[in-house]
Amino acid sequence: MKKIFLFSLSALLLLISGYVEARPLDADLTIRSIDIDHDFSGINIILFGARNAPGNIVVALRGPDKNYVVRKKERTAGIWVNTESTVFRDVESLYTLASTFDSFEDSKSPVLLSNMALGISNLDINGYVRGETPIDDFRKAFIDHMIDKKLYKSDIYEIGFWGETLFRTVLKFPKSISEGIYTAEIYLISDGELIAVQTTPIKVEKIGFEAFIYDLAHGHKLLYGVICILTALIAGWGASALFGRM
Amino acid sequence: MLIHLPIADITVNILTLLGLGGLGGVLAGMFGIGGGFLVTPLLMFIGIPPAVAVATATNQIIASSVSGFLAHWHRNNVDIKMGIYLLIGGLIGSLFGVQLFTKLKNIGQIDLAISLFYVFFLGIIGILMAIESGRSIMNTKKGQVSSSKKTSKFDKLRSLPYAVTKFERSELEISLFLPIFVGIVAGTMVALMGIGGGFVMIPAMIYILGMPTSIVVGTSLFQIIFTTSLVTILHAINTQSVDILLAFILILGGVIGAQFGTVIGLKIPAEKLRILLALMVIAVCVKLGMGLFLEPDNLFSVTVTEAE
Repeated sequence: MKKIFLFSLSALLLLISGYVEARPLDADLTIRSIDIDHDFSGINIILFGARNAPGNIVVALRGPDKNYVVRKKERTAGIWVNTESTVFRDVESLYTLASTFDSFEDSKSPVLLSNMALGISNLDINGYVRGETPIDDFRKAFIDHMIDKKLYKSDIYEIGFWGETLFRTVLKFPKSISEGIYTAEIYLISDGELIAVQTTPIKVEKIGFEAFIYDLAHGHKLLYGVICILTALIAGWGASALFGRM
Repeated sequence: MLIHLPIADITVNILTLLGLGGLGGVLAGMFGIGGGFLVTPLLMFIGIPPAVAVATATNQIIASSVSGFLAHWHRNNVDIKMGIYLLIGGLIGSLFGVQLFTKLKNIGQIDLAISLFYVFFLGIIGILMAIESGRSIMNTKKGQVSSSKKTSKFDKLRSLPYAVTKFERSELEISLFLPIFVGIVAGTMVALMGIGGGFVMIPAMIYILGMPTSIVVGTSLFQIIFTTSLVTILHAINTQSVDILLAFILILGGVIGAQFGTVIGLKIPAEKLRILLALMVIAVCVKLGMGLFLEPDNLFSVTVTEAE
């Protein structure tokens, strides 16, 4: 109930402001920062907005870029060994779409979609393969892996409308997201032309004990190593003081 | 009760981990060995990445070695001088081992290498133990006492003429290159396999160096404390695969398990214990080996990399 109320209220405000300024596209999020703690199990954020010109809406959610190594195993001397590999640099670590297009094939704007990297097939996932396997196999394996981890979504989410102007959709952040700045991009497209675009950042941060350990292990490697040793030394000594031999 | 491990990056049941640590502890209590060579593969079986399993097991061994060492130290069963030369070798071996580990990790072969090392060593040890305990059970039945094996095979090595040093506590005069060499082998295994290396070092100390049996365990533990500490630091710096939370839970399980292990060890005859251990070693070896030969579900694997 509270969510619906908030949504209606914000939508109303947007509607008013939208009419006042008459921007073709205006949108906002219910939450702008996400904290990942030890029992984080994913979160849905509502994106709502108003369009003040006719056209289709596309919402893309992108995670911070990362580099990925994809390796392929082959049977070598009877055992399965990683042989060929490739590196995909600066690839979205999360990617989902919502749109009013039923399918991107009849969007009449393939060039635009490609330029804006909208649709999984338009993502820039490229690398050099050391070996004979075509890059397409590696790309497919990578995308399958990301879909499996719920980080990429092959289906396009729906965008709900209230009347002709107000819209809302859900941005889904799965359990396995990492830290960084995510962006929600909202496009208004009409007859293959980009009418308006808006970008909104979402900050994702790890918090709590686990994040502390992880940061220490990666940021202060030597100190972390020393703490590991001291913990074990004290535990070993403590155990022998309590029980004798361990 | 589920817990998320910060470095291994998986969610596991804390009781499973306590159980695994406990098993290591039981083995330690029963046989006086670290148990790392069984606990590390078992960690891999429950889904801990092999690199993390190895590096974290190394951290855990520090704790069990310290408490073991203290017990031997109080009974004056440690040859510190010998331990220091073993340690010099151990440090060289572990520096080399971690370099190799890091290189293998960077080219994506570390998981395979760890499995291969384990299949190889567990295979040999399991078979040797099975033969040995089978033989001693037979001997006991025939009423014979198995003869001491501390004989001549390695006499030539022991009379190596370079840098001969006197080791008073061990009542030996041997080349200091011998303990250094044994230390190098053990140190390399610590880095690559996440084991203390006792099960290689102890036979080597008895048969190659010719040390009195009563002081080998304490002396090897002395060496293991320092090599595992160095390897832990090197892994923390080079590979970031030490999971302190996992290590701590394993240590906790180990402390509890060791108390049971000592009791069990007193109740079951030694030969039967040994054959039990041999069977466990062989079972783990076979399971790891099958993983190498069976076709994986997915030929492709994806990992995030920071390397440019």
